[in-house]
Amino acid sequence: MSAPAEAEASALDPLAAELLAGPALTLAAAIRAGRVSARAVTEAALARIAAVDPVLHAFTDVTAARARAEADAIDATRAAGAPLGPLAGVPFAVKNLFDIEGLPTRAGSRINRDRPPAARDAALVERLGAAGAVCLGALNMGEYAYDFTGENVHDDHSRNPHDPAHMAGGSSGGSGAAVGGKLVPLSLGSDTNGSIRVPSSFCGIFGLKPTYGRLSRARSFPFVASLDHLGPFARNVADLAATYDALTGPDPDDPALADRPAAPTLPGLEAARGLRVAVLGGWFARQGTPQAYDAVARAAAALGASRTVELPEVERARAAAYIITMAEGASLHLDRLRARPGDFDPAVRERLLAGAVLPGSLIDKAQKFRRWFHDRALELFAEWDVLIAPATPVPAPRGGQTTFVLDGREMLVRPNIGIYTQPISFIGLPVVAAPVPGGERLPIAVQLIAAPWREDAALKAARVLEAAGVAFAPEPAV
Amino acid sequence: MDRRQSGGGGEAGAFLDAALAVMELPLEPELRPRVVMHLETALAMARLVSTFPLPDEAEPAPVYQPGDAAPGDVETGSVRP
Repeated sequence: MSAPAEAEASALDPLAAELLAGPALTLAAAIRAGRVSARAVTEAALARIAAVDPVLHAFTDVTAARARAEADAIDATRAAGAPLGPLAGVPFAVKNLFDIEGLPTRAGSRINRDRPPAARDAALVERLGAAGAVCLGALNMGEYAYDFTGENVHDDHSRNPHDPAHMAGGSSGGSGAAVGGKLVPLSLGSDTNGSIRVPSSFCGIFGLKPTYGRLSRARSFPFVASLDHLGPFARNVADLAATYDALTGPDPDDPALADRPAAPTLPGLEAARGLRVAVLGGWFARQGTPQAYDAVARAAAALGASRTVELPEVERARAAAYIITMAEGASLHLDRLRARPGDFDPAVRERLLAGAVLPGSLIDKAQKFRRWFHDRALELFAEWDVLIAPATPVPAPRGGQTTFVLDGREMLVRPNIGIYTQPISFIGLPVVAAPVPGGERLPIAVQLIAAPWREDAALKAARVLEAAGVAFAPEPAV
Repeated sequence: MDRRQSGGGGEAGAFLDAALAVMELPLEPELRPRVVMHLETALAMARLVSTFPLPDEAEPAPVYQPGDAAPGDVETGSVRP
C-alpha cells in the first residue's frame, strides 16, 4: 500500500468506532452491506486497544499486521462480489491458551513463552476466521488457568472495566475485560471450574460455557482434561449464540469431542415459550451477598420461575471437582514442577504440589461420585429446562484482595469465588452467564443452567431476560 | 530445598515430605506451610467425597471407548464393542 493510502486506511472512521461499540451482528451486517469497511473497523479496534488497554491489561499480544491482512481480505472478497460469513469483519481476541499461529502459547505462564511459536491456529480460532471474524490477538489470563481472579504475576493483572481497582475475574480475565471494556465485541476463553462464568459476572457480559465435549479443544493449552471447556463471550445474547453456532462441528483432533450434531441456536433464540424454569436452592442459596440473590430473584421473576429445587450433595460435588482439578493439573505440570519450579507463580505451584501427592484412590472416588451426581442432575432436568443460580457470591473484589466475608465467615477469596460455578462444570452442564446489573457500580451475573447438549435452552432463557431489560452488559467506565 | 529442616504440619506434613521425595519434586522450606495448608484442604475435600456411599459397581464418569482401527487392518478392526 502506498503511503497516502496507508494514511487514509488508518484515519479513524467515526462510523466504524460507533459500530465497534455495538452488536457484532449489526457490525457484520454493515460490513456486508458496504456501509463500512472491515479495515476501518479493525483500525477502530486497534485504536481503542491502544487507548484503553494500558488501563485494563486485557491483551498480551496485539496481532495488528494479521488483523489488517484479514480485514483487507474481507474487503477484497466483498469487492469481488463473493459472499461473506456471518461474523464478517468482526474483531475478536482469544485467551492466550489458544494457539495463534506465530505466537508461543503462553497460557498465562512465564515458562510456556519459551515454547516455539504455534504452527497453526487453534480449531476455534480457525472456525471464527472461517465465519469472517478478524483476530486481534491474545488475552491475559491467570497462570495455567488455575485462577478465579484474572491476576497474573508475569503480565500484570487484568483489570475490571467498571473499576480498574477491582478484579476482572479469572482465569479468562483478559477475555472478560476486553469485551466488558468494548475493546472487541467477541472473545474466547476457557472454563474448567468457572473461568468463563466468573469474568462474565465481574465484567458484566454474557458468557457461554457449553456442554463438556461440545466444542473442540484442539490446539489449546489444557489444564484439567476431565473438566476443560472452551467457549465465547459477547455483549448480547444474539452475538453469543451466533458465535457459538460458528464454533460447533466435528473435529477428529479433540478426542473428548462428542459425536453429537449441534443445531444452530440463533434462529430459535426468540422461541422461549413453554420453557420450564426453576431456581436452585440449598448450596446455591447460601454464602452469597444480597446482590447475588437479588440478581437471581429478578431473573426468576422475569422467567416466571416460582419453584425452588435442589441438587443433592452439591458440597461433595464441589469438593470432588476441587481434588480432580488439583490432581490432573499436577499431572499436566509434573515435569515443569521439577525442572522450573522458580518460574511458576507460587500461588499456582503450591496447589499443584499438593495435587501431585494426592492418592490416586481418592481421585478415582471423585470420578465415581461425578457419575452419581450427573445422574441426579439428569433427574432434575426431566422436570425443568433451565435452572437459575448465582454466578459468583460477590461482585468483583478489589485487586489483590485475599479474604472476604461470606455468611458471616471470613474466607479466602481465590478458592471461594467459584463456589457456585464449580459444581456445575463438574458434570459438564451448559451454562449461560447472564449479567443482571442492579444499581450498584460493579455488576454481577446469574447462571442459566440447562441439561447436557441444550445450549439452546440456556440461550433462550438469557434472551428472555435481555428482552425484559433484566440482563444486559452495562457501559464500561473506561 | 531441604524439606527435612522444616518439619511441622502433622501427618499431612510428614506425608507431603515423603511423597514429594518419592516424586522427586523440589520444595523450598518457606513455601512448605502453604503446600501443607493446600494438602490439608484437599484431604478434607477428599474425605467428604470418599465417605459418600457408592456401590461397588459404580463406574467413574469418564468411560474409555476404544476407537476404530484404520481400514484394512483385519487383526484389530473389530475391537469396538
